[in-house]
Amino acid sequence: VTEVETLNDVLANEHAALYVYGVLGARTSESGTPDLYAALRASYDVHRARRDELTGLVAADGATPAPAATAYEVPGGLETADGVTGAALALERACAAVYATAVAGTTAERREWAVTALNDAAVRELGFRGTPEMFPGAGEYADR
Amino acid sequence: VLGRRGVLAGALGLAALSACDVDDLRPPEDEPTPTASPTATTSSEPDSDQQIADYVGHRLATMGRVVDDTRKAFPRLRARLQPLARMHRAHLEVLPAPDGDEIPPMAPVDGTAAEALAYLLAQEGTLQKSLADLAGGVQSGALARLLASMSASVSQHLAALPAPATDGRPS
Repeated sequence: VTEVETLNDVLANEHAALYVYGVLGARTSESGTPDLYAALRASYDVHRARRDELTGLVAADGATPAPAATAYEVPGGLETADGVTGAALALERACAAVYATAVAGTTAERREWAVTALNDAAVRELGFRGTPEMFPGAGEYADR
Repeated sequence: VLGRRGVLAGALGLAALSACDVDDLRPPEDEPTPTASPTATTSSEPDSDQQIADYVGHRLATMGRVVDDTRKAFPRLRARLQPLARMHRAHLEVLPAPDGDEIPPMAPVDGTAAEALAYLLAQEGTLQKSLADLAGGVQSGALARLLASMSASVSQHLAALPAPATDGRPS
């Protein structure tokens, strides 16, 4: 797997994250649960920025940025704020794992980008009732 | 489980091991980790990753002692700092201090609990940044991933630290 392929995998994940966040936001009442809505909005904005950064990085390498799919599988149980919160937490944890994989598969500035993204995702989990982990994005070390 | 952890910890505690031993950090086969492009790897010396792993083990052990000493000196902070103490212990199980490593005695924790806490949090912040920086510089992708995850864990723990439960007076 080359570095640009790794980045394209992360880009594909960002497309999916954006789609799911869009659905989560649509299922959330801005007036009824303003904190949750704000957290979802902020996360959406971060992932959109990451998508744009990755698109630029991949294109700069002369590769074709991974396109977004028409639709993605959306988790169930989104009828309640708790369900939406749980889905957002699961999404950020999945993103953290993808960023951690990108750390391993890149070097130099690209790796620094992935390290920053991993740190950000780990902290963002807390906004969705996540609790601190020993090894965000690399949970197998906690299970040894 | 304990056996695997022990093997890993023991292997990384030996300074003479070659860099390929650090690659034992790679995750299980069902979670393949892409390898960095050979043409784009850093120009580290062959044993530099092992040296960095040893250095990180020393830093983790030192920081763990700072946390433990602060908890002992200020019982009011014990519960609040317990997650940090657990985190350092968990990290040390994966990247232990090298054999024979001596942690220098810490200066007595004095001042108020608030001052001690502020010092400790500053040190944790420095550790987080160091782990992130070191992740960017090691040759092994697996070690980079581990260091980055550790840095993210420190970030998380600091962000989740409960609000102060002390009025700042020494306990």
